[in-house]
Amino acid sequence: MLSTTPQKRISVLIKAKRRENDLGVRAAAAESGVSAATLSRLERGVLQNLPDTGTLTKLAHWLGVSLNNLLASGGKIRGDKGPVTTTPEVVEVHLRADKNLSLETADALAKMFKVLYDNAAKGRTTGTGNRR
Amino acid sequence: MKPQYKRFLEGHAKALRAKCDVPPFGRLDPFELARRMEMRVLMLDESCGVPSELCERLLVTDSRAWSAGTLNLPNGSKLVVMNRYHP
Repeated sequence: MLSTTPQKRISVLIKAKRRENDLGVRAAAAESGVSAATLSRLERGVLQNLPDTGTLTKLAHWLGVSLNNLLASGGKIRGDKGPVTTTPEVVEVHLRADKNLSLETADALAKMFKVLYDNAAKGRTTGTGNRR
Repeated sequence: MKPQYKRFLEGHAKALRAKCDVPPFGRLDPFELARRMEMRVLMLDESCGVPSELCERLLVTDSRAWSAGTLNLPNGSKLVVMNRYHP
C-alpha cells in the first residue's frame, strides 16, 4: 500500500522501478526521458513542489501508472490501467502544479472540470450560458 | 513585453474584432466573440450538474482563487466556465 503524499508516492515508485529493473539513475533517466538530477531529487523526496506537467507525464508513462494514480495523495493504487492521459487528468496536473492555487482548491477545480467533461461526453448540456 | 510580441497581440486583436464586425477601436464583447468562435460559456452553478457541495466550495470558500477556466471537450469544442463571484 502506498498511503502517502504524491512526492512520497513518486519516490517509492521510482525506487521500486529502479530496483526491479536493476537500473542506475542515469540508465533510468535515459529510459524515462527525465533528467538524472530531477529523477534523483524525486527519488530522495527532496522536491517540495511537484515537477512540471511534461516531466510528470514522462514519469507516469515510464512507471506504467496513470497521472491520477501518480498524484493520488492517499490510499493504494487500485485498478490502475496504465498511463491513460485523459483531458481531465491533464487539467488536474496543470491545476496541481499552479503555485497560486492551494492543493484543496486545485482538487476542487479538477473535480468540477471532470464533472463537466464527463457530462459533455454523455451529451448532457446543462448550465447557465451563453450570456452573463 | 517584447515589441514583436506586442505587434502579434495587436494584430490578433485586430483580426478578432474584424471577425465580430467591430471597428478597430470598438468594444469587443467577449461573449459575442465566444459565440462566434462556437465556444460555450457557462456560469458555474448547480444547474451545470456539478454537485452542490463542490459548487459551494468553489463559489464561496474559494471564490477569490479562480475567475474562469477553459476546457477542451470530447467533441473538440471548448467550454468556458466562469465564476460570477470573482471580484
